[in-house]
Amino acid sequence: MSKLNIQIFVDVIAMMTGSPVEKTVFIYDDSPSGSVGKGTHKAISAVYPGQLIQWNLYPVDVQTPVWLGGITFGPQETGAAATPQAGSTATTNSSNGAQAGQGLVGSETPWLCTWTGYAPLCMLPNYGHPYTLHLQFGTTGKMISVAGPQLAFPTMYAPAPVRTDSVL
Amino acid sequence: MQNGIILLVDVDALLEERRVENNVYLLDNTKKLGSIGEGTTDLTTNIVGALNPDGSIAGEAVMNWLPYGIAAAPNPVLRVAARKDHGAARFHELLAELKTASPANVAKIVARHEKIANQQECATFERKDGRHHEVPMAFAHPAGVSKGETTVSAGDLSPLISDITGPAVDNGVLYPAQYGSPDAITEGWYWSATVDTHKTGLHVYQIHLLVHRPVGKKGEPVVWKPETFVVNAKINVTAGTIANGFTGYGPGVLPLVPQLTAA
Repeated sequence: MSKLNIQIFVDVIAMMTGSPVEKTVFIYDDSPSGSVGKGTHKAISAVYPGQLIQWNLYPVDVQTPVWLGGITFGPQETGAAATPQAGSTATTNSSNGAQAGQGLVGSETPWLCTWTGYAPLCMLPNYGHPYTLHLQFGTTGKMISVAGPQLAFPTMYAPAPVRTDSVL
Repeated sequence: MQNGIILLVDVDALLEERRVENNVYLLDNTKKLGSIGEGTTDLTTNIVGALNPDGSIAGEAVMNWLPYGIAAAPNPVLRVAARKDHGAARFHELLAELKTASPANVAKIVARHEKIANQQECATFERKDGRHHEVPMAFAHPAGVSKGETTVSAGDLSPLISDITGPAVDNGVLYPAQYGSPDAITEGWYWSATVDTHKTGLHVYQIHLLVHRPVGKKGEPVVWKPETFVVNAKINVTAGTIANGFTGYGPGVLPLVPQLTAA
């Protein structure tokens, strides 16, 4: 099966000036069917066990940079300033091989991170798997967490939408 | 990513002192990436490059420059002001004068108002080869000044960028070009460049600022004459190899939290 692309658009200026998250973060995916809430920050993307998923984040204004500093899975609160955790290594030379940004939250070089991974094969159907996006605006400094999006493996007869406690 | 660099120029002071230091303020959008020297003429912009594992460039690094005069009205305003639309005020003035005028004076009054209504203000610009051309632009007159006096100051007009040069361009680090833009703020031009992020390190480049000096004796029409000043700036290029944010190498299995119903 093909890769699932999840695109996240962030209005950085609105976010910095205090607009609520529903007016600043917009999530889309290219799943042909089964996704719910595309275009909101609570999008539920339909995925299949074993499918490769890639997250791409774009600022709405190209001159206000923002990157994904991390994606964590599980229920989490949306809030400001999750401080970057230790464990990230900087990659600044161009000659040697990759020393990648490790660590789930926070990286000194977030623009070097690509966010792809496989949905597990044992993924249960009809359960919503919430995840939180962690946005970074530079090498260090404040990060903003955005909770709300989910991944779900929809089956044919499942009623939609998935409730907030992630049980269909 | 797109880097934006703004040049705030005190045109009056620049032309008077004939030097760039303390009269041009550079700002960019990458302070959080470690740019230094904001607000001075010695700005170092950090350009972060991303390379694929095979060494090819993964993401384009673009630079954009925009100049503004700190005392100037935006160019679209200057152009609109030249089209004098006197509107209702002029109409009421004409009516008031006609009401109290004798029949002999009516023709004179109408002629005077017609002359004013058909005026379009123009500013005279001189090219480098000495030729003059008229541009429909009007500049603000301070209140209380009589209409005959020349009152424009150099700071009324924003500067433009005429070139990007320097060692960074000669060494193939910066590839600049001038583009046409539908945004009339900079007369429809803006300069942009892509950066070869393989060439890491500190590089110097020059921004050529084109300002115009209004020259003219009192009572004579003002001619705007071009002068170019060079601003030195630097870029600090770094590059790293992209890698998976979760694992550090290639894609792995996502740690989706298994969902349990509440006990």
